[in-house]
Amino acid sequence: MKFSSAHKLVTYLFAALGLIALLLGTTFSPVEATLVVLAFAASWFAEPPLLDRPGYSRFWNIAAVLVLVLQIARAMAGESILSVGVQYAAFLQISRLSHRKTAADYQQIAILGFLHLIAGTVFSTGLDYAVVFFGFVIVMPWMLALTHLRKELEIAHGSDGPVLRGELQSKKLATPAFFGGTTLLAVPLFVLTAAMFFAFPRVGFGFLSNLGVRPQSVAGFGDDVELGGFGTIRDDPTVVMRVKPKNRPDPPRRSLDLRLRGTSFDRYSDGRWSRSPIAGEELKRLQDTYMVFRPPKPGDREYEIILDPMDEAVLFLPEGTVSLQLPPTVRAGRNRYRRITRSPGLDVRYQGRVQGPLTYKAFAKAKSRGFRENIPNRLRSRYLEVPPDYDRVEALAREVVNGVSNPHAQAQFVERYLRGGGKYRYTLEQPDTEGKDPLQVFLFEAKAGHCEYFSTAMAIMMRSLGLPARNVTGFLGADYNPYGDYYAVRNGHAHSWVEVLIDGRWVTFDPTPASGQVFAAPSGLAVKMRQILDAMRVRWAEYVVEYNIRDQAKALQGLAAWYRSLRGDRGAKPFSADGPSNGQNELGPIPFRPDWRWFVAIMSVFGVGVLWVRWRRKRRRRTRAGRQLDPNRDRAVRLYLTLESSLRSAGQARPPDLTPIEHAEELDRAGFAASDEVREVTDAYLAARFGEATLPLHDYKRLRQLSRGVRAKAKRAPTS
Amino acid sequence: MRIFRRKRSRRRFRLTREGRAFLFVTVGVGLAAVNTANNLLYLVLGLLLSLLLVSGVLSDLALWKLQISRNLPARLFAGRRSLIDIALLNEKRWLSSVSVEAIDEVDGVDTEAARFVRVAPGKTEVASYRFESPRRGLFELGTVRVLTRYPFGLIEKGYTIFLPDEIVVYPRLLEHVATPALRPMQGDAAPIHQTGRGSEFAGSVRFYREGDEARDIHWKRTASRGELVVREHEQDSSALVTLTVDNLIPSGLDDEAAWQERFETSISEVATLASVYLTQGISVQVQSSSSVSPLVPGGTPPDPIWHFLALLAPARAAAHRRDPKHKRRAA
Repeated sequence: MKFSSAHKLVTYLFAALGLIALLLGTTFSPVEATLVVLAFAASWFAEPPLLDRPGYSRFWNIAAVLVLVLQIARAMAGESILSVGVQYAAFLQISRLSHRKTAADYQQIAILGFLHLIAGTVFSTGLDYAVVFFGFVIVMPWMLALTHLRKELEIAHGSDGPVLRGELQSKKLATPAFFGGTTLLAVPLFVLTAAMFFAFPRVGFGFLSNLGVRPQSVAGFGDDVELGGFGTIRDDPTVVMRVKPKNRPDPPRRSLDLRLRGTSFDRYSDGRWSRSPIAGEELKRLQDTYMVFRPPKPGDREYEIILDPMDEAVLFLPEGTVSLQLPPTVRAGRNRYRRITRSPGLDVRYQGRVQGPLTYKAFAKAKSRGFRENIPNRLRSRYLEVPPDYDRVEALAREVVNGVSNPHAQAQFVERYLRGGGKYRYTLEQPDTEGKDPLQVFLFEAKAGHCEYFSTAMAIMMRSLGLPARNVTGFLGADYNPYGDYYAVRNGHAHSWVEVLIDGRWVTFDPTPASGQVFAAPSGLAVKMRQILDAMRVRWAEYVVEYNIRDQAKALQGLAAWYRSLRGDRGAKPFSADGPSNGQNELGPIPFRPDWRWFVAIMSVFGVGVLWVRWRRKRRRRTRAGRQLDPNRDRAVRLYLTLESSLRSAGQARPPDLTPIEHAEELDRAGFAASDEVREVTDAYLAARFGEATLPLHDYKRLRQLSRGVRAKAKRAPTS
Repeated sequence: MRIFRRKRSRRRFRLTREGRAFLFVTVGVGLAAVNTANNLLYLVLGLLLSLLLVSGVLSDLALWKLQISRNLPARLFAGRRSLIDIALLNEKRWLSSVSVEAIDEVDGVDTEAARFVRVAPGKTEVASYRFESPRRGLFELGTVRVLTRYPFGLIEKGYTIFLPDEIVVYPRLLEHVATPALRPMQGDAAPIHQTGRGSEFAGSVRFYREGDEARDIHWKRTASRGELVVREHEQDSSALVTLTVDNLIPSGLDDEAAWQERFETSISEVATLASVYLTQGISVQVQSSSSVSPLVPGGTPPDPIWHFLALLAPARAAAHRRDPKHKRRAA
């Protein structure tokens, strides 16, 4: 391939990766992103003679200034500085791509692309960034090598000219062997990068944090939800969390009938459920364990949950959850525990931003018969509220319970009425309400709907019977991912059910027909690909995004244990992926606790190192010509140089094949007028330079005067 | 000249301007990573450091197993630009050496770089650098620095090879020079049976020398010997010209620089004249105040004359020698 074509292609690949890293965030609207892509594509066609037009460069320079002014104005108007900065960075890259001529332009494109990669670390921590990064690892050696070669060609042949043009059109450099060899560089690059990544001590001071990641938008866990909101996400395969039950059977079941509670709603009106805004209280914490009801006990079921960031900071609780365990983040050697709050309605949320998936453990009672809750007074009446004009619903409820007075039996009757018997059909289609009340349309006309209609119907019917009830949203079901060894909970598993307050306990009821509750685990090639991708996503988050100093300590401990086991040390326990097998689920000590003093010390050592290197180089340059002499010898050399200068002026320069002493003797034999002075100075020079004699300053001055007088004396001497 | 204990110095490296900027960015990313504890920044930092490391290793490989040699041109003239070739042999079996430079040293001054874009494994490439000396004389060639900034232009690595050599730069030739008419000498002048440019074949052959004409090549003998051989012709005339150059610096000279300039001009004139006479078939010899050049037969290349003139230095009048019978003056 021609060198210029190869270089152009690689440059565009590189720049594209950088722009993708920027576009991963939310700083570009769809329109802006489209503009960037179109401008990027258009710049491909910017070639001579277009580049050589006089107004072309001026246009881009003016545009750069104008866009900068515009972005500054936008920042001052209140837009995020990071957003406007990133947009300007994208514009600069487009500008450079549209105006690339010399190696310096390509270098600037490389620098900008690289800065985009760095900026991208702020916008995305997901697998998409991993793909961009790996692309960089492969393309960057090509880009740097070709740009370097181009620069060398320009140095050799000038930045413009027929010879350079010929070389750029040549196919001798950008050969398949060149690309193959440079591609192989990605292997050591990747290995070294990984090694350094895992080895760097994580001592983050956390003065500036990143923006966090773009959260997933999932309906149903905010302050309110509209009847029919869940139906729209039923087919969404996006994984929202992953669950690893402890002690799961082997082989694991293909799907899990797991109910994960999100939040509840207490008020129903006009086809919408809402939650009363009552502030929650912080959960009690013991180290990293948060008490929802009580501390965990040995017989409790344990679930590890990896929750993708959502727009609502809800923690999902398996049925019967009594406590949670959330490892702290480590900043500057200190554990930073997250605040977790619980609002009435068992609405459990975490505080603060997350960089990636949030991993926590839930401990649940082996058998759950509901849970007690302290209900604030003003909520008690809410749980009994029935909208006006719901007499028909009440009548239906009384008809269903058929005079039964036991509350639990009443709830079961209503549940069975809605779920079984074929009276009501599960469907994802929205019933056509025509301006009527959607619940009554569902109950009396359509008799078909999705889970929200069923749960709403039961909740209102129970309230009309005088039993407090509320609508609960969460997820039901999970599918096993063999590639990641976990159960994946998808958006499509979102579900709605009812909790009824019976004998002081909130008991769960699910009136949705079975066909709306259990879903066959999907299969097919597309599903497999999604599972593989999701497993990679989890690994990326676990080993890269969430990697911290505690993980490093664990890894080192594991290495040490493995080494000991290799040596066959007695008592050495083999390495376990769960960490040291001490039988306890301890956090473990933080091996390194830096603070600002460490930072100052490290920077000081670095600064001293830089100064030392500079001093060494300066010294080497000074002594390159030869060894430095001590002051005594240095004076002796300068003295003799003065003598030689005088002799040269007197026409008696020392021939290179004569030593100083031989020259002095030669001059003496030839009857040179100042031969005595020459002899004296020469003797003093030799004694000080090569002998042990010293040449004091006053002697040096006297002999120097003598040397200077040699020429004058030779001139005055009579000639025959 | 520097004394080298070994023929090749240790590898040295320095960061280029791009390398310094790269290092600056690396340090910045490192500080940002430590500050924010953003693992992705640690990843980027690892990539940057890996690039530097790999760059250093690859530049070592590019310089590995290279043999350098110099091909000096046959003639170099003062004030005239010439090309000096540097040959680079890549003794590696599989790897090419890309983007290598060789910088020669002439009289302690670095020359232009001879650049090799790519030297395939097992192959030799020749690159040249321009050399122009403002003065004639003997020049010492000492070291050759071999360096590369491959592959990424971040680190410059190189070493120095000690390759001593000498070049003699001939005097500047003038475009026009007045050629005085020659008067035949009487008496002692005798026809000199000398080889030179003439019409008659002298019956002998010799090896080809620079400047010989192609029509004189004896093809049969060349084929049998395997080297170019030319016929020698008998010189037609017995003309001999002795050109004189006064290289003695007058004593009591006020403006030595002006004298030096005139001296150099006369050297150039003599060199030019010598080549003109030799072309005309006239033998030439140059005599200075202190020495005399070899006699160069007419029709042969003037190189011996030019060589002599290139090394001819001004001389000062010897000091008045004391009568050895005089005693040495007491100190």
